[in-house]
Amino acid sequence: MEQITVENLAEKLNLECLGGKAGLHHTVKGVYISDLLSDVVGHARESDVWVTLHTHVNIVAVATLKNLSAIIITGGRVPDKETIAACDAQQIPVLVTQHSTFHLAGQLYRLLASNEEF
Amino acid sequence: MVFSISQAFVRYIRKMEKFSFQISGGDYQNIGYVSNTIKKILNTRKISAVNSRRIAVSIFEVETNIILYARRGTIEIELDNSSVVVAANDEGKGIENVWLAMQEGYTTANEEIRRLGFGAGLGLSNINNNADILWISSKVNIGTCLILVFLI
Repeated sequence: MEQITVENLAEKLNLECLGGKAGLHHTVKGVYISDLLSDVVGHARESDVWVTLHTHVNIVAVATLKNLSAIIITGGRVPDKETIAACDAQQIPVLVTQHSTFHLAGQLYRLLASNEEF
Repeated sequence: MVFSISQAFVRYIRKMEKFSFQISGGDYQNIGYVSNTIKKILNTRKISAVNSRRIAVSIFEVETNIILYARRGTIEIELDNSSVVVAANDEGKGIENVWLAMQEGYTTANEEIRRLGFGAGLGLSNINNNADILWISSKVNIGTCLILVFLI
């Protein structure tokens, strides 16, 4: 299966990119869903998309540390302006959706589960 | 015996490249600064991705703990071709029971810390899972000292 980029995800799942657009070409190799930052730091894998409900700037530090491909914030929450600025600086796309984490997880699973690398 | 070993250790680390950071308690905005800075430095050296990842993850937890729980602290990182040593000292509330604090899920975090997604009781166990040697010394209401050694 061909590689999926953050941009592909955004188009297919109708996600709005609010920052870090320079990183939209990042390849997505998997998904990690957690709202405990130390859990993400401990267990997310490189090039994962991270789904969270946190909006504060610390999520960008975590994503940078783990070389994550993008951050998706669920439930219609909006990232802080410091978060958007940090995403721009680190070139990590931050995307938002009105859907709940559960709904988005289902969409992501349907889209990515057939990918061998997933 | 202890004296001669520590003298040898001091002589050894004197030859290493050193980086030093001052950390302010409560400076939430800067969580991740030290670890991401060191990660960038390590990526310019002949250090494998696995090693640079586990070192960066551990330093992230160390700096997070100082910012969340201490008044102020320092993190010193020393490296050469075979090892990375991280020494963190803080002035703060200290750890009452180190054994308990090492248990995954144990936390003393308040509501504010938890709201940010920290304080799940995973920090010290993340460090323990990633460092080759972890030494902790702490005194309540004085502070905490951590030394981490990574063999690379």
